[in-house]
Amino acid sequence: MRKKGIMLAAAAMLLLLTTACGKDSGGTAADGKKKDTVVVWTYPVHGTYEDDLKQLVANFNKEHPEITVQTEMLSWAEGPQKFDVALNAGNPPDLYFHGVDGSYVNTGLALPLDSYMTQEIKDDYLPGTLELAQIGGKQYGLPLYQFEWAWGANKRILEEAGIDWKSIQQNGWTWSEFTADAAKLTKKLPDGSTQYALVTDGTSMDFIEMLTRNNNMPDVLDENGQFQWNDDRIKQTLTFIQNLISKGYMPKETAAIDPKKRTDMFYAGQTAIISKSIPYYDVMIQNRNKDIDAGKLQGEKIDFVLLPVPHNDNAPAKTTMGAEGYLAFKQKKDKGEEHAKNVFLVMEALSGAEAGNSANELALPFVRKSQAEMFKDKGLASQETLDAAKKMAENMSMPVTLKLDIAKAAQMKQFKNQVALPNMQALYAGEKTPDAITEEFSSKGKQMLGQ
Amino acid sequence: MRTTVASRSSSSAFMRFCRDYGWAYLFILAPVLLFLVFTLYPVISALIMSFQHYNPMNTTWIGLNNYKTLFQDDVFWKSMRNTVIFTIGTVPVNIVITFVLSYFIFQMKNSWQTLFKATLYLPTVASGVTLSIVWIAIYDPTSTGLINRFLGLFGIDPVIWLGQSSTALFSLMLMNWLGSHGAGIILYLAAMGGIPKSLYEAADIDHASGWTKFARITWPLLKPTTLYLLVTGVITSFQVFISVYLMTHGGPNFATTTIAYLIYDTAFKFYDFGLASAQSFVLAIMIIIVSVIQFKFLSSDVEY
Repeated sequence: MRKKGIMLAAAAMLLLLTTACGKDSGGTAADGKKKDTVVVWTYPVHGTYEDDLKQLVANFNKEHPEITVQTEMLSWAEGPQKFDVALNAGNPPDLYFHGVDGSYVNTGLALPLDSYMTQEIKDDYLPGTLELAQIGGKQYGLPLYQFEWAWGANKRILEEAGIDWKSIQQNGWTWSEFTADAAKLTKKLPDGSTQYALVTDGTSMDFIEMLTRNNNMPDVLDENGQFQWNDDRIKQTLTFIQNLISKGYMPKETAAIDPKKRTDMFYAGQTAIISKSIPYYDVMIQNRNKDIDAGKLQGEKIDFVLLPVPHNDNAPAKTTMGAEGYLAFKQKKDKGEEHAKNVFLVMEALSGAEAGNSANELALPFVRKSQAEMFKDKGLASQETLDAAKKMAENMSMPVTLKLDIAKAAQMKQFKNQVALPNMQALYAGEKTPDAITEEFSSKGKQMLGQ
Repeated sequence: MRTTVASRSSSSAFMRFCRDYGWAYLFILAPVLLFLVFTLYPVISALIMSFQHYNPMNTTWIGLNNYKTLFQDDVFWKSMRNTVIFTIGTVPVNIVITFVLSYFIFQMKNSWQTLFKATLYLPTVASGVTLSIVWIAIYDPTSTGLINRFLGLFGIDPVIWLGQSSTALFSLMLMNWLGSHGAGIILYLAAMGGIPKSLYEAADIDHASGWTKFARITWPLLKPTTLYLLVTGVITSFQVFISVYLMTHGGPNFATTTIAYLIYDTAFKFYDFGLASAQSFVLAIMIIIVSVIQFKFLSSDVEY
């Protein structure tokens, strides 16, 4: 009797396992349409994005009750790794929130969308925005907003130093002008600590990438695959950074400063300017000020100023921009054309007019006419920041990876990680000179990029 | 007729075997299956992958190319050098610290022993992530950092602990010295407690000095524990990853890139799973060689 019980329990368990591991049986909805499930991995794009997403999915399901949209909110810290593992195991989600990336396309799992794009959808996108989600002329994603990288400043410190920030927002500034202003912004504080003109982090490539774009180099390679970081232009850029550190306008500890420390220093009034900012900082800092007023936080309230990145005196100003949105993927075990169509339907629903709230919340340029119309005059950032963001967008520098051959883009990524970043850290730490780094870029470029 | 009898007798032997040992094998089956699915299968897959250019949709066989690439790669040799320095710089020092602490704790009363054991075991319980975050604050490069503030009291300028090549790897080693003794102390204390008192009494009768008792009784009888700590310590430090990943990202200028971090970078930054597998196998072979050498030269007079 007891043995029979054990056998039954084992059989029940086996049944449970086979049911759990079994293939989705699909089925048919009441209106005769085939049931399907679309998996979406996304991020908390802005403070209320999770609510927005639920609403977008609910609206979509009113029209398409046969399609179940399974959403998962990833953390910004761990999400990319989770996705990379899934992608390389051949089982990515159907939709993933990110900018288009050649390495994704290289896996053969990114889904080209051109055959699903109707003329109506294409016409709704503002000029130049759809291209931000294309690689080699093929559409792999639908942008949700355009991102824009700039510098962020503390208005009090700028005004105390007599810096005309409104003029900088409108007219930009050169490296010489910035250096002169940096001297005014750097000083000893009463508690003995230093107030720096500029703080960047030593762990990423963002700073050097933004500066090189403002010295006539779109990236390590240009869009034709020509190596750029091997001549006087890179040496000038490195020398500019070295001078800022040696004159004390930037901390000599830069190599060990991470993005969190950079933000902490900004909030503590230890720096006038931080080297990476987006217009959304304005909203975030307004919220922080409210928390300080409500007694939830301690610290100095800050008035935020969005500033363009200065450019070399002989080079035009450029703003680092791109797009983020949903990318579509198929799986190693392809679920077929019908499923792909459903994925696109969901993608369009998550990127349509109502989804424009993301660009609105983040104070970033809209990508679709319908979004701009729906959220007209509802911007949350200050008018000054919105105007500055708009002005900077006039000098947009598109990521070269969108035009670059995928193999070249992979080589460039490797060069940045294995050569450029370590050398930048050595520059920040005072261990290498601009001459030595330029020489190494040149020799490693020949070795890794073949030119 | 004879065949039928033979087959009936072998089937009844099988039934008897199942009745006597069936449950035992069933229970063994669970861990064996786990080992096959989660250890052996991934290891074999990784070995195969190390000879391939991996792509989820189009994997190609490239023979020994991944191994050739990694042996020609400067960063691989740098990471190898860093890993060896880290291992040499941490494992023996940790064993000495653990042994000295255990020796002093062993002299104490039971209640004090418990207190010290619990206190020194705490960092072992804390996750590596938490410890790394605490140490990032301790190594803060500005004058507000804990160590820099202390140095400031003596008029010493702030040191950029994690941001310069000359101090970054040492900083990770220092963190390791101060935080990973709990398990070793427990093992040493148990081993010390297992040494028969009669040996020390006999030594006392012969007027042996404290040093002689240590050198002739304590140390030799603790050798199996020391060997165990040495082997596991070397294996762990060859795989050091969390502190590098969280505190330095392998920088500055590859000064703290270890093999485990390089494997992660190769796999998850460049999606080169074939090369990462090859790097993993080189690491595994290194660990095996070092472990064999340790057993060969240190275990001759060890009794288990």
